[in-house]
Amino acid sequence: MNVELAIPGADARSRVFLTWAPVEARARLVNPTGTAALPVTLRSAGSGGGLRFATTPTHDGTPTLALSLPTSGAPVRFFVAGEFGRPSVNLGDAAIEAHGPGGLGVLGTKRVTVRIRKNAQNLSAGERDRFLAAFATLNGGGSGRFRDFRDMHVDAATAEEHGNVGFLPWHRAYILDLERELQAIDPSVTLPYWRFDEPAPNVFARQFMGVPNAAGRVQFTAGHPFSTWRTDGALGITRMPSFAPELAPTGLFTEAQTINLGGTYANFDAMEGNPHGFAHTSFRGFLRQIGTAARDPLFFMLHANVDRLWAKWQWVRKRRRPADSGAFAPALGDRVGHRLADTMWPWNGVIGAPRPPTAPGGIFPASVSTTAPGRAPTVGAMIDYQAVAGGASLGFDYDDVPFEL
Amino acid sequence: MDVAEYRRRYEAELAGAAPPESPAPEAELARTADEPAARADALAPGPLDEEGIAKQVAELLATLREPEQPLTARMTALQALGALDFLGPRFAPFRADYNQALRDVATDPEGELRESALELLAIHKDPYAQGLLVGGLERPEESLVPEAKAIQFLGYDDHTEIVPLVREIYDRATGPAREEALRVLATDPQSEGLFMRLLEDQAEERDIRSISASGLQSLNPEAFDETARKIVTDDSDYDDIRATSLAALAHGREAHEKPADPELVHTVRKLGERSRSQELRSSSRRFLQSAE
Repeated sequence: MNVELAIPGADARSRVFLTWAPVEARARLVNPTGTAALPVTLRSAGSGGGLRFATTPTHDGTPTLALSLPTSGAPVRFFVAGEFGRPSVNLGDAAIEAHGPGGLGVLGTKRVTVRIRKNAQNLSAGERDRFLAAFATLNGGGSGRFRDFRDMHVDAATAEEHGNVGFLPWHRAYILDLERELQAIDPSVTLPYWRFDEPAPNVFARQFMGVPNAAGRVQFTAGHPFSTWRTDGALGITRMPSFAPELAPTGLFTEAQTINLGGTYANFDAMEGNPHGFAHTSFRGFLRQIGTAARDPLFFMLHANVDRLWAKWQWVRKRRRPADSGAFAPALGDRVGHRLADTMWPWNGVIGAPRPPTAPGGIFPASVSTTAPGRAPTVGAMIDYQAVAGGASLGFDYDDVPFEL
Repeated sequence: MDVAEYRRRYEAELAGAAPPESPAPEAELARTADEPAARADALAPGPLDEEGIAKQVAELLATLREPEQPLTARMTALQALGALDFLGPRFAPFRADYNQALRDVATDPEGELRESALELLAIHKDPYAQGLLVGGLERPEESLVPEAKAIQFLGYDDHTEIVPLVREIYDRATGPAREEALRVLATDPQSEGLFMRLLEDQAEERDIRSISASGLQSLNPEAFDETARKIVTDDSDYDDIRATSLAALAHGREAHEKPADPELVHTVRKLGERSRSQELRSSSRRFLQSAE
């Protein structure tokens, strides 16, 4: 007699990835004995990631859950989510165990990964190295798929991406697109964030994002995946911080100041200037200009933090439902691409004025874990990333932003 | 972790934090002129409406251009203008003034400010800035920035006709200028032989060989693959160069799509097992993972 545990969204190798958002799962008896329903207890049993269970979608799950499984083999529904504060470090280091009564022991096990975006400063060496290797592979010596990402964030596309209310949703889609491409190379990887209002000496080290020489060329350890980094024919990365590696940049709003920008999106999106813009211009080199910023991998960690700040503001202000007028704001000038129902360039493939002349990269990549946000995401599809209001989540979460109904 | 308790703690933290301030008035700017941190705070853009942006841009441009202002204030003004530039269309009405201000300070007596402005202009392929930079390379007595930076800035424009000049500089330069010249030459098909020679030359500086690995891989990936394989398996070569060559093979063009060469995989596996070099072992491990 066994318990079969089924969680939707497994990849081709039956690997399952969870975030903080609960997903509906099922347990059922296989080859049952006897006629009475079997009491079974689900337990979080992994060595790394933690899990929480419930019978309804909630942020208040428990580490164990009692179920009664009928001998007919009919499945019983439950909800499972990553335990906030206990993300995975390695693939499959979280697990559901189904324990039978008495001496029956463990009747079923399902390994899962609680895949969460983390503070880059705190990554393990393994997490860091897997991220770097996947990124370098995506770049493919300058001619890989990463080229599309550089071609998306260019001066000709500025009006799609900046200076309007779609700034945050567009960049949320952009970094999620990148993260999904990284996960296609290594499914254990998530995009870490550079928390730019705190010192990050582990990030600005030769083993990770590198250290500049006197000419502002970033130096890495020998054999580092970025040691022969190339983009658009240019060798290396130019980046000279205005701050010491053991300090944070000056002049930026702190996280608390950013969250305190206001209770509505119309106030909060002022963060595009500070801290976002100021974080970019805390460096000389690629990062300081829109057209060259995406040549530097640090750009994506900077924007993961911008997105985290939005996610945290959404959580603390409870502004996650697109129907909430305070969760978004009218587009300046009613500009297409910045209204809730508009699809976003380049994933929608729309070219020609007022959109840019080309649309690099094609449709939005699918995920095995979720159906959202679809092939041509709308601005509105980026807002409720955890599916608090129902539907499918976008399949990512941050280590310090919980799921809360 | 209890989410409700987490919320309570976080909300208390927010309540205790100072609210973001609006842009400081000029008097405040002047008062804090000698304190870089306070000045940075004062000059950092706060939440702005369109009128506020116009006012602050005018103030920042004036600070940037004013030689009597302390360098820290002018540098912070430049940083703040750059941050506002990220507002894209909202900054567009001020871009012409901004570019002119950058041109104005491109020849400023303050070297740090000059260099920063010239880089911004060079990224935008500004012909005035490119002319200044080329002039400085041709006539060093007129140079506004170190030779290495001038080459690097000109390299932002892969359509500039500077390759012949850079080739000349490469022949006589040392240190960072030589490295920067090599980076620019990676766009020059005629430099393939140079990169090959430098990469194979064990007496050459290691940084130069690393740049050459990347340059050769860019110009002729097949030739790089062949040379890199020889280096990886050559026990007489330096471990760091072998590790770098291996990294380039692991993450190079189409490495993810192409099946790995079994012979190379076998060689690298042995190398990882017997090498005493941490860098080479790490590089071997990553190569083998990428070959899986």
